[in-house]
Amino acid sequence: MNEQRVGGVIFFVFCALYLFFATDITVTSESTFSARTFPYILGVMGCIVSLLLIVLPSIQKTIALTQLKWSAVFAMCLAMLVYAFLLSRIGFIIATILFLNTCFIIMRERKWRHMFYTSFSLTCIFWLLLTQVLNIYLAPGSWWMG
Amino acid sequence: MWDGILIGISTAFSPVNLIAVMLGCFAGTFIGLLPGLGPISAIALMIPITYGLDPATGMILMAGVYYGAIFGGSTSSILINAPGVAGTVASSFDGYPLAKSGNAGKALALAAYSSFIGGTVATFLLLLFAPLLAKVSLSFQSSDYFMLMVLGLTTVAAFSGKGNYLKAGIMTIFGLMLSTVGTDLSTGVERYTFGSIDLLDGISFLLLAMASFALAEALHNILVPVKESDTSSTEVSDLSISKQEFGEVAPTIGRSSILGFFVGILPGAGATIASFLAYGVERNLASEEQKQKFGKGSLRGLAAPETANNAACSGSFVPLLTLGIPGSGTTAIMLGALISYGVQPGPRLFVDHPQVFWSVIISMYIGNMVLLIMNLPLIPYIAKLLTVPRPILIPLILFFSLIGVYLVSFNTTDLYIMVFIAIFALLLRLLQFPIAPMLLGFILGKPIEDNLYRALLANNGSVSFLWERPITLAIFCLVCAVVILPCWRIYRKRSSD
Repeated sequence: MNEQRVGGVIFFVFCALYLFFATDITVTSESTFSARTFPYILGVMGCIVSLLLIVLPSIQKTIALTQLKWSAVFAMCLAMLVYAFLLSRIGFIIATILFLNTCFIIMRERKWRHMFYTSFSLTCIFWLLLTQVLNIYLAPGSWWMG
Repeated sequence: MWDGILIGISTAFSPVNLIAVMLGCFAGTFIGLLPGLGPISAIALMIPITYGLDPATGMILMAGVYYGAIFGGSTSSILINAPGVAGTVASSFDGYPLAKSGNAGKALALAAYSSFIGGTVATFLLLLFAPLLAKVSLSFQSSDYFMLMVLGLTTVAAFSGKGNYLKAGIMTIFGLMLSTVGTDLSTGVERYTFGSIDLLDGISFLLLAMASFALAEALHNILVPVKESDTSSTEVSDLSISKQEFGEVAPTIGRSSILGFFVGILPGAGATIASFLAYGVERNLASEEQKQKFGKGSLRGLAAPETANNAACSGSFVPLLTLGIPGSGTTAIMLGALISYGVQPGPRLFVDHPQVFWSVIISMYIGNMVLLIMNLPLIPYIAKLLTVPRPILIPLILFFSLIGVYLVSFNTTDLYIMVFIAIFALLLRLLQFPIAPMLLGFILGKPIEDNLYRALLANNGSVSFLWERPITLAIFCLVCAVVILPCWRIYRKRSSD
């Protein structure tokens, strides 16, 4: 299946679900235009266009998804999610230094001195800018607060 | 009008705004220089910074980032044949051969002078046309606006789909669907919130823009690494061009400035189409002898796209400032930012916020001066950025994207949502679905629904407004033409195949 059809199927499912959940929207008045009208129009239009994507022949080539660096992308996404989790728990400085160094390692940077100087200096400068210049309060992290 | 211009001059020349335009130009040049990062990402990264600023200052900063990014993109196109921005791809055709032959300084200087003149001419035209269009559009009613927005969406879909109209169309509809999430302001009814309090206010524009552009672009760079460029031509020496050379390109610059501006006004066309069109026009107008030089380091071949892309940047502000309808992904982000500052773009902007309207226009001229006077001499040093290793650069982009969103809401849930949206946007990019129409649909979704609601209310629920008002009817006919023509062309092409 080429990429146009894959995309068409994904969007058709999405539009069908969108249309289905549009029926859950509460209607408060008897007027022609309610909170449901616009979602209905969009849902129907979306289904038609995604069906056309599936049905009409495509001249685009399929892409070799296996040749891409998926492992690095997944590792990076995981690092971002962990950063989001740790940011409010261990505080901005430690979480950011850890996040940046993890990303550098994922990106196969092996110059440890560069990594440390970049992450440490950037985090400290950014922290100073936010807290001292812009007066933005950054909580120290809930784990240290007990 | 003169009062407005004077207000604009005094606002644009205030110290804060002068600093904003300089910072914008520098930041834009830095980001635009990096292959893979375009003006949309550059502006998306700037939004959190501009949140605490005055609307005029915020817009001036973002406008500076816009043409700074185009300027930076030209630099990487010329020096390493790796355009940072789609609008500067055509600049690499002749810019890179010039740099390879040891004329990198000359190529960069010509690019800067062409951009400056293109930008200046376009700013003058903007000064001329924007108030006229704004005055005309003051007579528009809800039905006209509704149709105008539909026209904006269809033309963007027609132009930005890179030949795949349906994909751009479904992305526009997807963006419109996302805009319906949250509380409907007309009726006060919750839609698609699934009981979540976080979704009551709808999806954050900033989050969507950052995730689908800045973050997704960085992830795309990891997934499909940009091939290592030849950085041997990054050494820049002599930045001068002779009078004879300038005389040769002067008519080209004049033609491309006007062409670029008018192409920029068209929704969806923008800097990319303007630069390719200007390059093609110059090549066709050239003599047989000059035509041979195109692609091998022709000065005309470099001046044409450089002038046109900068002129198109200014042109794209016409529909944004006068009608409140963005013509491209970049101006769509600016529209979203304006709305979040509490300023409603459209014809009333000219009347209600003259300082924003005029100062943005005036600051464009200042921005072009900044690029010429300050950025050009610094290019030999700024170009060193191209040697920063990507393993260091990409994590920094990820960090700034995440922290930019976090500092606005201080809600880590936003970061989780952001990562998921970025993964989805990355998959869509791999499947070659354009992202810009989605953002445009998302931003125009609420005003479209609102204007449709009002038009129906004024017509007792009848859709007769589509043919009863001449302006609405004229725009409706244009929409039909924009929808039908590409379909007819595809049908003819396939039947001939």
